[in-house]
Amino acid sequence: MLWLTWRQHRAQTLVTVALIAGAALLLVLDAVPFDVIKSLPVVPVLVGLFWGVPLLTREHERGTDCLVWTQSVARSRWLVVKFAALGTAVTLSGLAFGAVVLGWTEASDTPMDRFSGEVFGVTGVVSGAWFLAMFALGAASGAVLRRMLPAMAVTIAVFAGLVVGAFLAREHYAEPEVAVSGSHGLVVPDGALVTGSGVVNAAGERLTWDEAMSACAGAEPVSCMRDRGYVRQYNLYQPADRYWRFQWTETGLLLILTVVLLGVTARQVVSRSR
Amino acid sequence: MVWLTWRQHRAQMLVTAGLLAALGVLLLVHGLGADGLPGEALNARFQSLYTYISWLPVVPLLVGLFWGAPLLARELERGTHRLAWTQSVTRRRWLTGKLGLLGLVVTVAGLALGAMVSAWLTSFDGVDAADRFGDTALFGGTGVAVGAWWLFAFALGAAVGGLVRKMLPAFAMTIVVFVLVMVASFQARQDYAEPLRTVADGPLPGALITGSASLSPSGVEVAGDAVVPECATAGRETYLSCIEEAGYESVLYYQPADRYWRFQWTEAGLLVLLSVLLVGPVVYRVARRPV
Repeated sequence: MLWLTWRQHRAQTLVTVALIAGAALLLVLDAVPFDVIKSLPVVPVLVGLFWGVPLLTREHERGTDCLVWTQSVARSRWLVVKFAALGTAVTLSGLAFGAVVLGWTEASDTPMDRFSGEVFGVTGVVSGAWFLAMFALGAASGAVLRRMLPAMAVTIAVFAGLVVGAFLAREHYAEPEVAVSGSHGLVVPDGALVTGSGVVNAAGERLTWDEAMSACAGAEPVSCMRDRGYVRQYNLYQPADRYWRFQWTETGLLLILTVVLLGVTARQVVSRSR
Repeated sequence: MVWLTWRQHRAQMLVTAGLLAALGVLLLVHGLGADGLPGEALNARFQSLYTYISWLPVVPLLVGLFWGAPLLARELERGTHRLAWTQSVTRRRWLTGKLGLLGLVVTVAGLALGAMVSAWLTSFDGVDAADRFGDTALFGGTGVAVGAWWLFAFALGAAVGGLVRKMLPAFAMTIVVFVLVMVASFQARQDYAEPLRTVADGPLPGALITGSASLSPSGVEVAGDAVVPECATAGRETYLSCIEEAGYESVLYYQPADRYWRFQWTEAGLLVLLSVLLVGPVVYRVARRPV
């Protein structure tokens, strides 16, 4: 089975290794394309498209599942070995990629923040978890839809939803700290993730910008805010040392998702007749 | 041919139209809600959506994958080209009909997206980051360049599919080539015209800054990333004040804001040219090759 897995998936494996090596080479050559960093959060979807989706759709579309699943290897064993071998390969690739991107952020002249939305998901341990979860997502949508193009489209759509969801959820992994402006303006510690801002009223209560604006509805905003005593501003932030805690939180959430998706896949393959 | 094209590609067309409509509603609601907000809040509102808008440069890739790559690769991989190309419609007409119609639809869809993003941007006039010229994602996602990017991605996918003849490798190659062209365009964009130079420090609203330098009192220019000789021994913190004391002035190289449209047409022209160069040989090869 291991030989079969390698034989069927060596193209993906070799290309993935080559691409990660290329990314590492850019780091060594000091030629990191910083314009591309904004696009990094979309990288894990490639794993879903090229590792996950073809796993079953390729067999179904070509009819080769008739041959494969009627050999001496049981369907459940076929699936377990594929999951284990490919899942391990994908996770290791993700961790390696995460290490390379972390290197990129440190090589940058302008201090790049590893906590920022652009790179958080593709650095550290969560990078491996995203790769694995996207592999499972691609496999599951392929198992349910059985056709490559629709499965790819669904994988991309669900991935986009998950990324946006992660962007929005991330700041809520822990209760944020508050910084209120004094005479020196706003002071937020280096490397922190700013998650919200607004004004502080005379009574010391915090109002978001939307609340402050609706209180001033119809009036000229700047003078109205001054009249109402909204002179100080505040920022909500997550301190830089929560980076690893947040990494593990997101990793845990993604692993739960992975288990669910692999369960869906296994159910489709093992219990459904052709 | 029109009916066949519609019938074979209606899934893509409907999904694309649906996504564009959804995005349009989102941009409209978000833009209208920004009306009358003061500076700080306007900035925060802009940033809340810009995080996602900054992924615009990779959107044309989806067109390449789902419109372009399957066009030929799907027929060739399944062998259905043997049926399709032995009917009364000639291969050449089948190809030009499909490429022409779908290319037109894709370009119009891209231009529609660009118009929506441009309209959204006008709600954020006072925000520095809402810069359709200086920001790589916004430049490629507005104006006419966005239509050209969609067309290019479609042409790239179709050409690669025609050459590789299998879907998965065609997908992978489309992604790799697209990313390379995208990165190259980021680098090349600032060189579409000779930049202007200014010694005054004044703000340059809407301009694309392409480089900086320091100008010594004697008129010698030191590039922005090189160390001024008088201050070679100064520390990191004192360096800026040191070059100021030595009488250096800062020089900026920039592309003024009114070159936006010229640059848009330059990029669009390059991409359309590239599309023709990609598709031409594939049409020729596919039309000539035995079925």
